[in-house]
Amino acid sequence: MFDIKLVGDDKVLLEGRFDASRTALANTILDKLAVTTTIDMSRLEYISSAGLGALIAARQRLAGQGGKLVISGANHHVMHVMKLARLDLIFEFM
Amino acid sequence: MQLTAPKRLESLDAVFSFLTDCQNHYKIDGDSVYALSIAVEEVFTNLIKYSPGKGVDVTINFELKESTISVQLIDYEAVNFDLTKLDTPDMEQLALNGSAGGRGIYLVKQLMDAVSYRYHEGTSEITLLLKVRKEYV
Repeated sequence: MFDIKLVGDDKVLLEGRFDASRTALANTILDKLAVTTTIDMSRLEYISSAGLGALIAARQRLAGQGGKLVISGANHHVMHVMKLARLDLIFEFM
Repeated sequence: MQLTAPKRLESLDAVFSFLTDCQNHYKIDGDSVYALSIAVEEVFTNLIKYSPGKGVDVTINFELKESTISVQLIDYEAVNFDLTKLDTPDMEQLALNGSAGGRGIYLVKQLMDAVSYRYHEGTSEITLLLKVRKEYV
């Protein structure tokens, strides 16, 4: 199961398993982001390199518009994968 | 335990469900299964991206012997692409460049204790080994 919701215009809720089969769905939301946005991962159970890639692409696009992605609520598994990929260098965490 | 699934993204749900069944059957801890889930997804999607025979069945064999998990992915219509010999990408550089891809096999190598590859007459066998950190029973 995977779900992604845009709350207002500056918060995205991720839920479930963000694997390679979910990137198209995720991009329907991530492509809409236009301002600094918090990615709420408190209900995200799993993310693979495909999910990370979708977030990185969104971050790059937002950065071009002066915005940022801020990560919140990542569980220790998700955080471990993000740190292995050294995404702690480019995302803000709260 | 064994799963046979078509080589396409829509099979990932069945692959994860299979790994959960293996977790419950062998009573494997969540950290190990998380690492295996990442590794199996990355290898499986690599097979989809880089080998012919889209939709052809891939067999996944899961075993636990002497506290070591072995997951073998067999692709019966594969190109000879030895992922164990790929150069290790610089994760810092990839991150700072904002590159969206190039991390999958790196994560596999980081999360597994060993990865091996064999190829013979169009069939590839990729084996992931992971020592179980702890059991929850």
